[in-house]
Amino acid sequence: MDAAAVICENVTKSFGATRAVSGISFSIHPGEILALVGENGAGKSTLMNLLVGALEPDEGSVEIAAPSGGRGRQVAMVHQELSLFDNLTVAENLELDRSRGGALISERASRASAREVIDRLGVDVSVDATVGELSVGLRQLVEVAKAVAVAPTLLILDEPTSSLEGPQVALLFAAVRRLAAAGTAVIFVSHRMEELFELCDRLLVMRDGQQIEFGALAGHDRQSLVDSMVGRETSTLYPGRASSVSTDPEIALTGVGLDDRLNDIDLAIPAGAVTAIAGLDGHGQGEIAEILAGARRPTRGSISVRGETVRFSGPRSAVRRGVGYIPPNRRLDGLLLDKSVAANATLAASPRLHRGGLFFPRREGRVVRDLVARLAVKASSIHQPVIELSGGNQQKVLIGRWLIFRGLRVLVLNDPTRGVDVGSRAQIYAVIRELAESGVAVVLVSTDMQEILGLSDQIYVVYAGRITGRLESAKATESAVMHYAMGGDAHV
Amino acid sequence: MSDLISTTSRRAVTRAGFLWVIALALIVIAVIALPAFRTPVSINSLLASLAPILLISVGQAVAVLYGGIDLSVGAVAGLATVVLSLHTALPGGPVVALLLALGAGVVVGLLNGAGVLAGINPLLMTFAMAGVIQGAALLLQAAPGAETPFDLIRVLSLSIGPVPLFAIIALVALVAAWWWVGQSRMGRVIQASGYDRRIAVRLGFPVARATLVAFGLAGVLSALGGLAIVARTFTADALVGSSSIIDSIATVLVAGIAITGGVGSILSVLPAALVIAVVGQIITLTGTDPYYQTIFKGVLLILAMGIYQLAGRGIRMPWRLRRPALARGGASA
Repeated sequence: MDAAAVICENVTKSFGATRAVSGISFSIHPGEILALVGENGAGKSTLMNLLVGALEPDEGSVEIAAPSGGRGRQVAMVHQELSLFDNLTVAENLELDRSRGGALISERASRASAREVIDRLGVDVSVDATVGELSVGLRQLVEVAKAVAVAPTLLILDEPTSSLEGPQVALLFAAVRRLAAAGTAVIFVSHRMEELFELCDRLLVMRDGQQIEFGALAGHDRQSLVDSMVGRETSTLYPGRASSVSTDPEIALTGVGLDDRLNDIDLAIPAGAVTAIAGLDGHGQGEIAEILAGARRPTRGSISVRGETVRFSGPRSAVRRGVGYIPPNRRLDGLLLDKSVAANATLAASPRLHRGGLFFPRREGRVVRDLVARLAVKASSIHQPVIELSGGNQQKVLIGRWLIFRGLRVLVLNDPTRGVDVGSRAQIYAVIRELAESGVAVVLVSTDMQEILGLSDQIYVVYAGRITGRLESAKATESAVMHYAMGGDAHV
Repeated sequence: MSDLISTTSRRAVTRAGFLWVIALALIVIAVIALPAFRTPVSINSLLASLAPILLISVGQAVAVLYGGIDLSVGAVAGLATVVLSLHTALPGGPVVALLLALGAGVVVGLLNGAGVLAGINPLLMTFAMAGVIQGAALLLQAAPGAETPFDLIRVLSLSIGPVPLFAIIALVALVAAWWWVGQSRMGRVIQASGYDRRIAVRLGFPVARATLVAFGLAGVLSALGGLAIVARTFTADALVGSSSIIDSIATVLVAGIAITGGVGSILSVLPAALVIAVVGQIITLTGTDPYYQTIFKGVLLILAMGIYQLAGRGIRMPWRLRRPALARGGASA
């Protein structure tokens, strides 16, 4: 076998007293695809930053071979958070990132080379499209195209599939395989197990900054991989279900429509149970969640809370009725990133905690510390800015916000575990179930079928803006849900 | 042609089409309704008053596209007029004074840029700088023997037919700045970092250089605007540019350049400035109270902002992403 593309030897990196990465040693050969797995906060991000060169190791060494042909970069990385400028077109974004030579830009050359890069990936997108007007999935693919425009020695993909749909994932995988065949070493980070098994051949497991395992992926199955990541048995990721589902709805939608995106939505969401809204990405479940939360106003139909018809003029009026909402994009829509854990956790409960608009640090501290302990949030203190927490811990803070909100009657969760590791997931699921048992009506919107089947009590399935089916979770199977999600035969 | 103009530039120009329609309609109405408007004297005075505001607004537009703002434009214009009047005290005479006046604009711009790079908010940095510059210009103005160089002024205030020299300079500067922002690598970096500085830094773009270039350009164009004012008023006055701060910001915003940075077209500064100048001229020619002009500017600004807000299509401003706190390394462990 030829020389390794990447060699990490005993790499260690600390931040203050925390050892983020400790004693990592591995190598990747050209053409290999390495699955880097670990819970959030296991040190994957730090390791990737060390490989990219954004951080210097305290001990040990990172060696990356010179790129073949001398043209490409050593390391290209697709970040979880995109690095595209929404105000420019696809071609202009690609041009900016290319060679820095020449003061002026030839539009024709820049568009031709962008066209070539986009075509090579096989994405159907115009190079003259303004990036801000593309869907999130397409933007993600443009980002990938940018990274692979010139074959690097090492390509790092940090959860590249989190906002992609099925066919787009296939495009991405094809591009990655093509690069690997041409001699690029790839590191692939994902929380979706099936993707790891489909794409990768090598495996590096990290836990608490340590290297737990390095070798071939072939010997593993789903369960053993999860066990290796978490370091404990996780056969019971999902808590039990409600014994019975009440037919008396806490909140209900009747004949709700939204322009041409939603039609005739009838939903009855009972207290004390988890009601899931399933469907393929973009079939209207997000809009339903936003209508329930008061973030969107339906154009037709009505909403009722405990039998009384209401009009939500905005999220604030929904909150006054006891409806809490957890948006899918926690960084953009849910959290004040620069603010502390405490400030973020007490946002909803603020009127109760901060009587008369005054701030009582001790009282707040007590409440937040209880919450942090209950949810096992990993933070150095409750005053740490949430931006410094890992994704799973950020999500716990977001959910915690509603746990200390006394008047909560309905909690709408929109994709609550996107980019959250298995360990945190189990804790979040347990808390959701606990909430339901305490009498809250929980609405779960998710595209993760396992999550929906495992956690919910009843499932509504949407397809093209209509409800195509309702199932009891205990009896439902993945194929039954999929049947409705693909259009099924429209009866309830 | 399509090789020389980027898609984004072209789109921004198309989006501002209605501004051109309004500007042209106003001119046509004025030409038909007011015989006084179409006299060569009137046209000459309109263009002479348009030149400085156009130059200063182009500088302001570059600063705003970069995601900043320049409140020192008026002080710099005033400083330029004063520096020009110091030619008697200088060895090289009027020509050196001319270069010095422009040089002063560059230096102030670079100082602004350096302050912004040091982490001072552009609003505060240029505001403070305006105070410093205005004070310094007033002190220089009081120096004995200062006099405006009439030989030079005679050249600067030349007209080709009814078109003043500075109107041509302003037009060239406008088109050049527009093309440069759209098509040069540095211009693209200004657009990109104006839109989202954090990503630009992460991708290793020359953001520091872009900062200096953007504020340097704003400075030199303001100084040039000051000279355009001298060509019209023939006097050195440190306070002559004070109204151009508000005027330039209003023009840039009416032109549809987003105050948050990175979005808009410098070319649209022309119709925006035309609308304001033509209405001003109509107010003067009809003998209406000139105070209506400031009222008109305010109403126009609010209307324009309202329309852009309602139109609000396409690009969302990543407000929450533009905070520098995220620049700390990727330590999420």
